[in-house]
Amino acid sequence: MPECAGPLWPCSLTGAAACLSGVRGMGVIIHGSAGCYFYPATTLHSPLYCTSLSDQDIILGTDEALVRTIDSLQGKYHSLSVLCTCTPAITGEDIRAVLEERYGESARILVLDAPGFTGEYEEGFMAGISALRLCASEGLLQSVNIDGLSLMDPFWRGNLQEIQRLLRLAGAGCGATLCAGEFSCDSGLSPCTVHANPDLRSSYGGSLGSMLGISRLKKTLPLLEDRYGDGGGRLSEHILPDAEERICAACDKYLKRFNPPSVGLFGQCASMQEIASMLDEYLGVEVLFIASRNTPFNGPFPVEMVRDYGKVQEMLERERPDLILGSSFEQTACPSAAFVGVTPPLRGMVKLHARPMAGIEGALALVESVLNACMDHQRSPYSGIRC
Amino acid sequence: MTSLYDDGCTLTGALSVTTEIARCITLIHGPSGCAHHNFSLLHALHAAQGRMVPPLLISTDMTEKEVIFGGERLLEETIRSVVKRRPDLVCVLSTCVTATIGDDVDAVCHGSYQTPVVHIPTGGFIGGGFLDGHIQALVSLSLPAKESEKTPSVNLIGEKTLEYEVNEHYQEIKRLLSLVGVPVNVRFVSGTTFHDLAHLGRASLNILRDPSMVPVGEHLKREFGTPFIESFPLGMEGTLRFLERVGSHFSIDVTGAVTGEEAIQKAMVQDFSSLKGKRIIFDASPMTDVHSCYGYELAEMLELEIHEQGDPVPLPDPFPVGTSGIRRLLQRWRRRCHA
Repeated sequence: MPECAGPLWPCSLTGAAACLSGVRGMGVIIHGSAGCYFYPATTLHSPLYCTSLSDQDIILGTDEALVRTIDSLQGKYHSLSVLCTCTPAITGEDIRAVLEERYGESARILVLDAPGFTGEYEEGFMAGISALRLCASEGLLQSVNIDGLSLMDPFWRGNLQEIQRLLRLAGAGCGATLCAGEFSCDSGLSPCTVHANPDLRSSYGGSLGSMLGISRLKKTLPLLEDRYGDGGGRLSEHILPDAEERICAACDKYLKRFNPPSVGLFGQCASMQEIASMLDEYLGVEVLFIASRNTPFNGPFPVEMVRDYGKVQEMLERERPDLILGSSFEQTACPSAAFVGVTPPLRGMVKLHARPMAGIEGALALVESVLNACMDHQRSPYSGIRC
Repeated sequence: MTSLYDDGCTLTGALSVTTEIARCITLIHGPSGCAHHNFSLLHALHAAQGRMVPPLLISTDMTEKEVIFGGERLLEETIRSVVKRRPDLVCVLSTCVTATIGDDVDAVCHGSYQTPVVHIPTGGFIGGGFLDGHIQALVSLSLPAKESEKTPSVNLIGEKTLEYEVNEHYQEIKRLLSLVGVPVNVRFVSGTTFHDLAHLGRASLNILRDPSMVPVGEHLKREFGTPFIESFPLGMEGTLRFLERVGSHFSIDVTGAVTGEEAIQKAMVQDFSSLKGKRIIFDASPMTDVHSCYGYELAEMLELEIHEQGDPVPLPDPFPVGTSGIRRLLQRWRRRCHA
């Protein structure tokens, strides 16, 4: 059926904007229509600019609108990035040549082709990171980069704070934070990197592992301590086992009264695989499916790509999970199931504090949310009713 | 932002209309990203209004292939697929991409289908901004309506369906109209059916949500000969004058209704007497100048002093409708003034 009923995931333009608007000192210009600007501007909560192309620009060329926008930003930013949307990509103007002629080769203006019709959010994000062309810094040998931070992710702030805390405890400094927080184009790059979100892994720095999920932390934290610590092993020998024990105790208590829930997960594939694995290990959940927003890969749990709301409704109707982990789209599609928000957008709820998904606190927060959602569900009028 | 159309996308404006029609499927001909942007925004705004189920919105999911070879065949196949869902109406919205590559969307929509298919030309920036999309959608959806015998009723034209208090505004105007005994014929559009749209010509007066809807008012006047009032009632005095204008149109004596409403307003001023003598300043917003007359009117009635060092109080855009809207606004002023 050639239709996509209620597309759930943003295009590559939003991915590129999410990436580059997280770079401090960089002014991000969306070269396209006001419509392309409006969504990332309202979602990312970061200043963006737009050339707001008109029909006249399409006929006579978009260069004037772009130059006008760049001129209005002169002196306000250390560098600028121009994200070319669908329309300039179709009209085929050589934007780089226009800018080179006007501002010279030395101007700090990064031009990135990010037409929405060519790909997914993750592709745009990764294209943005690659375009930054970061260089290793010799002064940062004792620090570690954190990647997988996106302003689109409701957990980015919490993830950043939690991973910085863990790095400190492991004896390492914090290197480049790709792409949020204090990170700027001039941030030096450390030789090694840990990943807050396995679906947004950059190729910068040697990987020391993922920070999402207890099993990954069991591998990553000792590596960090061996490399940067004084041999104390406080994280891997005390703090992580203590957290794991608390998770085991809470799950065990839940299982004294209730059966483990059946679960459907909706979100980015690699992240959902990690979360499913953790819930399987500690709560014995039955993972019915992972509905992936991005191109999926095979893992231990059944996965298929689900990009539209119509398909979400179909899956929920077919599988009827007790518990849904996903976005507010899934929450509305099946209000009778227990729900934990792990994927944007999370509409219709207040979010103020920096909640992590990664790291030890992230794992604790996730299991806490799952158990509370399941217990609330047992007490609710929907108890016993499936989607 | 340096934008001529900083009120948002044409598509969003049109969607604020088409997604309000019951059993209507909106089809966006373009890349899925355009549809996602709007689907997500509508989901957020609807959730804020307590409407948790997002509207049915389908994308043709254009890719690089259609950009190169054209997307008309994809559009036709998608319309045929959508029609199988048996909606009352299919609205097809075009995007920047389809406008730029030159797909003849209108011709495809004029094909033979079992369901009415209406093309709303919303080629992103080529069609303008949010307001242009809103107007274009209302004009396009009025086309199937037939001229019919007038009844003593009104249509409400161009309600801002994405605003947080849209239903409160509707309830207030319904209340005011009930004071003079005039019913609402069609809400054009909010929770409307395709069948309702056919009866658009029956009303003998159109009431526009605000003056930005004048192009729609003019269009309906040309098509059905229906005169219009250019705005929902705003401000204390404005609400009383609104009753008089409606009464005058229908040749109804509204003296009793106006006196009654005046008494309600006086009682309301009394309810907020704790504000008397407070120093206030209006929150700076792009629309402060436009709405400042209503702010000054309230300040005078409540004996408030407008002062640079005063407590900042909101003058929202759109300004709340009628006397009930002012009551809700004054609750917010009282909280800001800690009165």
